[in-house]
Amino acid sequence: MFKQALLHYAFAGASVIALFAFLLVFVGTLIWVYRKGSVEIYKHISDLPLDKSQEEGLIHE
Amino acid sequence: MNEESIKEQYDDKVVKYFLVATIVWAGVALLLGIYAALELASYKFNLGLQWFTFGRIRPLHTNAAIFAFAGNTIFAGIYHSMQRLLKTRMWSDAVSWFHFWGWQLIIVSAAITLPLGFTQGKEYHELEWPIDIAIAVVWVAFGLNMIQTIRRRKEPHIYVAIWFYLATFVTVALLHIVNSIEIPVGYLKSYPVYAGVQDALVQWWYGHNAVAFFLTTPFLGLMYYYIPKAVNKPVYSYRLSVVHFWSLVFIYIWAGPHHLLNTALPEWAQTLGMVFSVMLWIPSWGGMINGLMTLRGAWDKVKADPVLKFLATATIFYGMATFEGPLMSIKSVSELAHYTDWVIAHVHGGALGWNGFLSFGMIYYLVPKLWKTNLYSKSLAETHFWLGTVGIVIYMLSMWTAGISQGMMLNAVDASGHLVYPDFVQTVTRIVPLYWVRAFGGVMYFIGYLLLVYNVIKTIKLAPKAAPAVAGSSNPVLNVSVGDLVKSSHGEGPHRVLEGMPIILTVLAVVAVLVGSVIEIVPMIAATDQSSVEYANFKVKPLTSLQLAGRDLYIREGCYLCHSQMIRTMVSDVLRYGPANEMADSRYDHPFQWGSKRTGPDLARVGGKYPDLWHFRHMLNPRDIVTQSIMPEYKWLLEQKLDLSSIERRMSALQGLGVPYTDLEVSGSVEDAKKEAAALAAAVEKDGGPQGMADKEITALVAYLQSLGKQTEKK
Repeated sequence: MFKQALLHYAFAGASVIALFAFLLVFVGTLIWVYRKGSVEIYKHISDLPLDKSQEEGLIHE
Repeated sequence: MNEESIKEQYDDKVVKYFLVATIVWAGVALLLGIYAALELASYKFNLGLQWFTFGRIRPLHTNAAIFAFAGNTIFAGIYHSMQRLLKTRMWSDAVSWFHFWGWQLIIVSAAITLPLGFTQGKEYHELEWPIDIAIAVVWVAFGLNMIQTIRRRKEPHIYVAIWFYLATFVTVALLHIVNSIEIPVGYLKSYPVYAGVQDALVQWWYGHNAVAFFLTTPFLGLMYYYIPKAVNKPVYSYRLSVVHFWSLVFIYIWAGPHHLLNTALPEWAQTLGMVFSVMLWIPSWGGMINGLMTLRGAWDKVKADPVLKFLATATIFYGMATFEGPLMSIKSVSELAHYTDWVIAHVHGGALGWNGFLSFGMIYYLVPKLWKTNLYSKSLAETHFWLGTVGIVIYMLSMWTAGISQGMMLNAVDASGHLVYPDFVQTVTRIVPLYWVRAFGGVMYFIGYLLLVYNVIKTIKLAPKAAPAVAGSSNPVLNVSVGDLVKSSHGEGPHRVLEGMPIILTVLAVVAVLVGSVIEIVPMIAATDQSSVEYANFKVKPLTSLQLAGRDLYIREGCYLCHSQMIRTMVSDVLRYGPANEMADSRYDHPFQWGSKRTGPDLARVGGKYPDLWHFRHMLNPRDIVTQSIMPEYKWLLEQKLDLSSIERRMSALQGLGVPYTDLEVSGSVEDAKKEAAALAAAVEKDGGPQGMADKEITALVAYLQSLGKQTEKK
């Protein structure tokens, strides 16, 4: 019966659950990235590729 | 706190090797692409030789382009960028080299096995089971190297590019393992455990997400590193990159069913695939906007620098492809586009534009840096850029025209309800000239590539002979104080947990991809044939031993690459080919043969449509039957002896997978096949056909073709 139910899985609920799950993920991520203190952290991280010391091997003490 | 300095050198040797491999395999992939294009423009390029037919060359081209060219690009960029972003050398030199040589060996094994016809018959997953195992082993080594490098990092923060690399690693592992669950029946032959509609869904969950997590996410990671590097500005919005990452990783995995619209795939799965594919447009463009807006205020640099031209244009092609894809995923658009060259245009805009150009931009950026010199000729690189761009545009325009023209012609039904173009070949002759144009576009792109090869060789020749070993000068010696690193870490607490710990990040990414995978695949797989209403209404006969041998020849020759076996639920398909296919029709097909392109007509109900002799003559020389046919000749099928030595083992394996063969049928398979072949050959001889065909491969193939559409009976 479980297997039959799985094959007749043609209920709109699957799409709705999926969309709701995605909405949670998306809104949650938005809230997360705008959290307090994120500006400074993200400024530091986004500068990481530009760290010349890593490219040119300058001594860093 | 005791402060210590760490002296370490980056492993740039393996980066150089991956870069050289990228350049070499790019040439191979492009040449194979041009050759395949010429084979479609003129059948004569098939040379009448089995190892050179389009059906054997096309998988070689796609594997070379995806796994050899794009694969080595990814590894070169990942190894180069990761070390610098994490301020540490790769964890293990031995594993790095195992990864490099293992990957090249896999490519060489593909180059040998595919033209010989050893194929699973599943797109982008053709390589047979021993090579699948090798891929898994090398992939695990790559992931281990990456994760251990992250764990020993000296930089506490994990830049977003690395998130993309991690997501790539875990998702490709999941895709590969699930789609590789197969039963070996020989040293280089296997059958997937899935059949029919289940195999279709698993294959295109795999296929589309191979595009997503091999051709998109790692390249997005490279974009997030190399565009800021090349323009010397940070990414436009790091916040956007975080949202982009999670949205993309969650949504992409659902998109697979958009390859199966209007087919026998259950409607709910089609709807999910369509809806999520359309939604995918937004995070994709989020990434594109982030990449392009990083260049704001620096467009003068783009004008002057070929590296930035390639990277920016790559990002634009990414945007084009990720708008076009969702558009084509709408069911009504798919009615026109599916099985046509519009799909080919779409794929190559992405492959040549996004992947190709990003690779070239990265190569032009990295080679001078790694060899500590300047690029030999900026103007040659500029010329390469323009040749490549014009080449892509010619390619895409010709294939858009061909695809839309053919699609409209095939779908055209007049007021009296008849097909306006009842003969498939009418649509082929209309578009063959465009196949020449497409080949020309590919040649232009290739000439641009040759300029890159010349430029890179000349640049490397300019490199200083011996690199100075003075700390802090040109050798990439990392000399970092641990104390300073501890001081530089920001935001402990939730940030550390959610963005700074690679295992948690990886687990969350796995959860994100599992959601879509489980909801789409589990209902399809978990229900068995016996409990399904769709199957219960039909009686399905499995193939005889001779027909099975014939089907395996069909797969060997790559017939599924030009001929579909899936009549869609559309008026034009039904008028042209017969009743739309049900799930039951492919119930016992391990692997499924629905196909994804109609270079020739659909074959789902070709059984009994033409006499046996027609098929013999058609395979010997298609132009004896259809003058304007572009199909290759298959003379060797009438010369080569049919090998039945493994047929009992094959039937036994299928029996184990649920195909209802009796033990008698399995044990008597060789005798039954010979009897059926003798009868078929005798009938063909009587009709005036070639003699002595009873033990030839052609007889098995014809037996298979004559079975198509005849196996299913409604109860």
